[in-house]
Amino acid sequence: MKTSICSNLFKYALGLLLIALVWELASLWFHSSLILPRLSEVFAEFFGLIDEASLWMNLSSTFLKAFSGLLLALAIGLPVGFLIGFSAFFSQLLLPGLVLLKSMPIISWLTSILILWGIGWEAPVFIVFVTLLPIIIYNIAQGIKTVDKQLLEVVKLTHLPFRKAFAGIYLPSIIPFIISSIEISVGTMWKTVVAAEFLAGEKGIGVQIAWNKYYVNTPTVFAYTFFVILVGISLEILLDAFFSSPFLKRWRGLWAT
Amino acid sequence: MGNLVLKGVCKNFGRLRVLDGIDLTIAQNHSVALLGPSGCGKTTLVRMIAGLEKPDCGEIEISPGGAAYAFQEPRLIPWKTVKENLTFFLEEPEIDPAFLDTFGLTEILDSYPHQLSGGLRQKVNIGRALLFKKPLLLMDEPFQNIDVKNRVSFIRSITEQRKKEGFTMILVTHNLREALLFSDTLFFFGPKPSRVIGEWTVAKPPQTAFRSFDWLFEEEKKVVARFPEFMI
Repeated sequence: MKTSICSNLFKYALGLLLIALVWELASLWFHSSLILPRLSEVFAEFFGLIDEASLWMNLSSTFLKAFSGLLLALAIGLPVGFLIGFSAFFSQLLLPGLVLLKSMPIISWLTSILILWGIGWEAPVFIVFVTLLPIIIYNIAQGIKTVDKQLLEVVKLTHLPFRKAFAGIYLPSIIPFIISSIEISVGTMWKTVVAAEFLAGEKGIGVQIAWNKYYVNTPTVFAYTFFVILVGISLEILLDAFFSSPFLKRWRGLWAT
Repeated sequence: MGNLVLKGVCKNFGRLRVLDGIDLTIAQNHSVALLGPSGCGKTTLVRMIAGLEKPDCGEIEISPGGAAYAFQEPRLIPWKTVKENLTFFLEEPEIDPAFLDTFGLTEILDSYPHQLSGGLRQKVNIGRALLFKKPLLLMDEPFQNIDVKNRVSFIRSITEQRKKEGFTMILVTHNLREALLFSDTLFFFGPKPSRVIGEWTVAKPPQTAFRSFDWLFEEEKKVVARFPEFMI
């Protein structure tokens, strides 16, 4: 067991080393830190950045926007997902809108958003919201449709009040779907918020990337990018730890069987 | 006045006619068994009586009060304990402890369905159906996975409860002895498209019916003599 963990770690380290090697070779090939800076430059920038208070203020600003968008998407996506799952009428009525929302590039929103709100926090929150909304709605609607039909026949036969059936059968059945939609959303949310800030933000990590791009500070752009990746991975690990905590595991284990 | 009357009931699945003109009258507080080859539509008939499916022709007259249904599969809620499963669908969540003892449910009240054997789950299923206390009890092969000793004691307890509370019962089974122990009347179904091809009024069992099975074997011989294809 222990040896397998060690050998896995070794392979991961080898993988990282491979990326570094390809990077360095490419950077030597381009021979310009404006196109692809050396790794040493990027890391020097990175360690310089994390010493600055402004990075952490930008990070908290980005976080705030990202989670506001997520919460908004959950607040609207959960009830709409339920509605679509329960009613064939609403499912057909809202499907075209959902497909549209899912396939629409985020930059297409930009003109309208910029005219409406200008540069600021609203645009990134909105873009995170519209990106996550269809994901959450689909997941929840799918969850409702997979509720055990045989149990629902017992509900029908016993004329169980809807309120009771919802709390006792529907909700527990779809909690795994809610969890998985949050898990998918968080990864997407983080990438999206940075892109949205880049395009229409006033502060935050994405705005920093935009400014440094403007001044052709390529090493700093990559240093911020490295930071975004680290935060994204940390978020996923934290979320995973939360959802596999003993409390939730007990519940999930019961549903799984 | 019959509790339950079926007049010319038929049912198709696509182009296949499964049930073809079923006429049945089941008197109030009577217990009947439906016997017939697999896939002849017995379960479909019971589902139509329960209102879960509509007949394609004919009528089903059922006196008000609704039906309780012990399904072929236990259909328990996986995230609820046995106790919660028994009470979840009830308006009054109190259960008589004597009832739990009779049906061997007391020890497993706090278990979850996945911790139970198939037979125990089936016991919970039967218990849940009985607790609804409806004027009509439908049971679709309820004793699968339950051993013979428990089977006999269950049949006895349910029969006693039926005499005490007075409900009509319809049992779907492949087991002739089970049907004889349980029922006042047996209805035999033919292969698809199925109709009632025979009816047998079960002789009144003696007091000792659940202890000495002579009566049962005698009765079984007589039924098999008339309906040899239903010998098991």
